[in-house]
Amino acid sequence: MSPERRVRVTSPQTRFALARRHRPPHGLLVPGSPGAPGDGIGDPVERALAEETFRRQRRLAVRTMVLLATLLFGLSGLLALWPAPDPTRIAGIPASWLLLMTASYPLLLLSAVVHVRRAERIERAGGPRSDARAAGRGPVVGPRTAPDTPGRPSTGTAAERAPEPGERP
Amino acid sequence: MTGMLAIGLLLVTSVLIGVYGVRAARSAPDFLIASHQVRPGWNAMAIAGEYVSAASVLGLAGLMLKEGVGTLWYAVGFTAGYVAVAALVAGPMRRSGAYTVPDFAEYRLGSPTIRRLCALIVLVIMWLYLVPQFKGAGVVLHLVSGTPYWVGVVLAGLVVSVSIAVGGMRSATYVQGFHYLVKLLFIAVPAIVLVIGAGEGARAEALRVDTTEWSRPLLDVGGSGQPLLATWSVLLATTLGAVGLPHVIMRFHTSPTARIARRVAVGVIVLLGVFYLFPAVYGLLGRVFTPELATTGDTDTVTVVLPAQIVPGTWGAVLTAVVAAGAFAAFLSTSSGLLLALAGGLSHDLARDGSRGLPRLRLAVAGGTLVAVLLSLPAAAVDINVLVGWAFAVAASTFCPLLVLGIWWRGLTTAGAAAGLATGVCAATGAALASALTDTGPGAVTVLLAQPAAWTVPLAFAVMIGVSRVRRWGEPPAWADHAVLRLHAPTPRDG
Repeated sequence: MSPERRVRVTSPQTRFALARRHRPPHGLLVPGSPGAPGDGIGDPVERALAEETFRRQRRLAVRTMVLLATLLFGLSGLLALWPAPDPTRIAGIPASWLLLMTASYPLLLLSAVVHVRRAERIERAGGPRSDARAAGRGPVVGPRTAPDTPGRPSTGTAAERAPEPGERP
Repeated sequence: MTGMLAIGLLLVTSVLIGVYGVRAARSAPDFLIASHQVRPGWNAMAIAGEYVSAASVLGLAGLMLKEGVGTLWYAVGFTAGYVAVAALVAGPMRRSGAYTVPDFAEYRLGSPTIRRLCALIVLVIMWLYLVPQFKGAGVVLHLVSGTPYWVGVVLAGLVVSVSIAVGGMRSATYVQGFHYLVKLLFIAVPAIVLVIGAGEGARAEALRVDTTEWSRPLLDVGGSGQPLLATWSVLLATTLGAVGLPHVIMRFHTSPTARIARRVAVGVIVLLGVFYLFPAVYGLLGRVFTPELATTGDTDTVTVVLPAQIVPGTWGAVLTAVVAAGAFAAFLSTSSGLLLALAGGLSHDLARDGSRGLPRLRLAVAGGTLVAVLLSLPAAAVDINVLVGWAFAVAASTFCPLLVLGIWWRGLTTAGAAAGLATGVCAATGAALASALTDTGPGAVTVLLAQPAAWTVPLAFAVMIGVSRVRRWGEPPAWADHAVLRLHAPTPRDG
């Protein structure tokens, strides 16, 4: 290997952090790398919380995708079963065409809105740091900011408390 | 003449907005992702503006005229893609901090080889997507001013590459947001005028249902006789393709937090849903006023040809100019986003030393445009929507499984990802090529070649999972657990 072939060896994370200059890195950092904001995940309590958040988000994502598939395949299946020269009319437009042109958009929007609301609720329940930020709001979130209670099943309390404002459907 | 004037005005305004954005583009992050500084409303409009391409403005109505009402399933799939984006990738991708799909692959799997493989696939998808945009530009300019096809292609390439090379993502964001409004207004207002101007008889004729496949609200590919299979395959390609489109993914980094990135995706659904109500008008009226296009001409021109057929005289010319300017906005904004992702792939992901210098990015923009223009010159006869459909199919069979498994499954290995990506890109492009070069007659085979997503997407997922499971070929990276949890853990910035 000639000297010209020598390359600077840096981890992609370092390169990435360097490219960002003084912005604090918050990317996918390998465990233990300095400044990784997710370092708390190494801590057992935090890790259990993160695991719980991940599982709930995954369940939600699967549910939304199943709903989306049902909606799209269901609507197209319905139109496949529609009588061939469409005899029905709504405001002069063949009903099957109108369904195709307009029906799916509001339903798609609705499913996305529901998904985002639920995903944010899961995040509010599972976000230790966002809780710390909101600690000033009142005693309800207070206990969570004191992580020196290792015996306490932190995930459970978080999951129970979050939906309190009557948001659970 | 009015057409040239309208397009000229649009170009001048775009360049002015682009120049306004230049001030901010000082570093590569500014250039590629506007340093996360774009407001959510503008960002949603920019995403929609970038996404509503020549395929939506010209291609949908054109393919509808040729193939039937069922073509509108493309529009449904394009929109449904954002439900999948919001549910699967928007938040975690933003949190990953990776700018591009190759970036994400490298951070998640720690393999520079995967990064290069991803960068190659980015090039395939982006060129497949760019060619129909430039084709649209050539066709529209030819229609409104009589210039040869290649003039429009070259002009579009010049304008887009110069505005991007100068301003990068920051300027592109504002230009694209502006272009969404242009496209919506310039499609919607003429559509309403045309519906009124067409008259009672023509309206009834446009809505006439007959026994042909045209009236069937399903997509039939090349008379295969398998409309439901074709519809489902298109839906799979368009919905999951949106998840894997590199320029769409890159867009979410212009949001300040993961939560806002997700909400931006929902905003995009609203904007797309509103837009997609209108292209159908041109397809339906084109059936009455310009039926000859379906047999003799280029159906992709129907949106631009139609106004003069319905409204005679000066007003017809004005409407044509308006629609042409809207169509031009579509190529400009979509090609801007595509070129940015392409330039990122060329310079920042394929480069050996990972250099991120701005001069190199600008050079990559010029190089990427040149190839796209050269590829577009012989593509005048290919349907816009068909090409865009293939770009979506390739994205759905490669990056969609990579991102979905990378974000939601800790067991993904480098070998699995590489095998799945290679399988997906070969299967999807191979099938598309085969369908372009051969004629297999009616039957399921035709559908599965022309719209391969129905089998290539499950295949790519299966290969990725299957190969990842074989421990002899590699273990998941040591940090996989940590990395996946990090992607879903809320950070203070999310609040």
